[in-house]
Amino acid sequence: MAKYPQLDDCQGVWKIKDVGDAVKLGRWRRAGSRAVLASGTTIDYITMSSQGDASDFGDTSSDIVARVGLGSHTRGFFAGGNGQIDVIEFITFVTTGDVTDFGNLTDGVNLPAGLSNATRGIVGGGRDPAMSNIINYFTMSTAGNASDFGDLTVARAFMPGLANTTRGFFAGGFAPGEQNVIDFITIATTGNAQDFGDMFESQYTSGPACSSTRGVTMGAYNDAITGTCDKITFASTGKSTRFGDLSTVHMGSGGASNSVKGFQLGGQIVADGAASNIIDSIVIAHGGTSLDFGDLTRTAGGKAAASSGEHGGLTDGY
Amino acid sequence: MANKIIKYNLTAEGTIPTYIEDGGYFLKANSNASPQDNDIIGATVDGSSETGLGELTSAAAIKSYLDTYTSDWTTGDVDENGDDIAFNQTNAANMIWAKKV
Repeated sequence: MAKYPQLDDCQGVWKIKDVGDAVKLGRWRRAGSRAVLASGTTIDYITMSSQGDASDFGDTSSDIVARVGLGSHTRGFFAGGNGQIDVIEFITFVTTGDVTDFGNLTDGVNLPAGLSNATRGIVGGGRDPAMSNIINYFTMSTAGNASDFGDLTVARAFMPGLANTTRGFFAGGFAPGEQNVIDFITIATTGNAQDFGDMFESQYTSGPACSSTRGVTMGAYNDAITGTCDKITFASTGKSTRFGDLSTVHMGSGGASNSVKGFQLGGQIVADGAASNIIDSIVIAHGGTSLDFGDLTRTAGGKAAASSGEHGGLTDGY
Repeated sequence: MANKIIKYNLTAEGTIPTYIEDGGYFLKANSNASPQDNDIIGATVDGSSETGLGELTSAAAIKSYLDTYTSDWTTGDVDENGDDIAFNQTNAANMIWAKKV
């Protein structure tokens, strides 16, 4: 039986038709694929396949932090933000232009989690200003307002959203107090989240990265640990395991991925509280200590929003 | 009709109980096995008679309960001096009680 390669496991024999379908439907990995980071009005981008510094992409609509990023194959979305903003706006990865208005969340929140598959964008939790349990969803190809999806098992904020093409995961968070809960949803349906397991340690502020099989949280924080990375295996419920560390101890980093590497962008350096311009990468299949990738065009503190178009939620068999 | 503000656990399968309309608030760790290892506050669906682990019958009762385990909590934000902002039990209790119909 033919085994068609995943984007994060490119080997084996392909049918030409499947390659063509992947290209036409936007599922083919492009060497120039980008990750973006929005902080305030600034958007930076990196080319994930090419180590180097970030470049200026364009601007957001206003000076907003504490929002979340998520991405389809073609669009990067930013949602929520400080002041309990309900705005959803997007950029198109292949351009370097300013954001376009997309619609609104059902409830304005800051520090929510975001995740997506190729069709749906999901925004869950956050503060409105109380901790929210609300999960929103929207169809990323069609501008419009978000709709209610269901509830998180625990109302909380400041946690990473992880996904493969089927399931979305919310890992840890602040409720207040650091949380160890991991809950999940089935992206194509609606309904309340269900418990998946626990984080290795209670934590929040991590940036997300995922392949089609594994989710990684980068830059955890609680009273005892800082800068650690954990991994969960999407196919098996249970506890996350320690995966590695960031090269510099950060919290609140933006997280993006191309299904092979995870990228930590900016964040707050725990030692002195300073905003960082560091971009690090970590190989999702390997772990270890993250490696220097380049620098942002400016520093971005602990509440910036990252997005990419090749993460694990988009790579099912291609 | 009316709902109730109660303490509850997730089901043994890790799902939100069907009698909870709006929950997931202010977890208190207990000695149960995961996924029932936290006592959670929430509002039941309108008309439900479920009281879960116990009903909280007023904002004052919610605050008294929160006072038993949240004294060292912070909000996760910092003030203009960079200091952690303490969790406000009164505000939290009022927020929960506002879900009472």
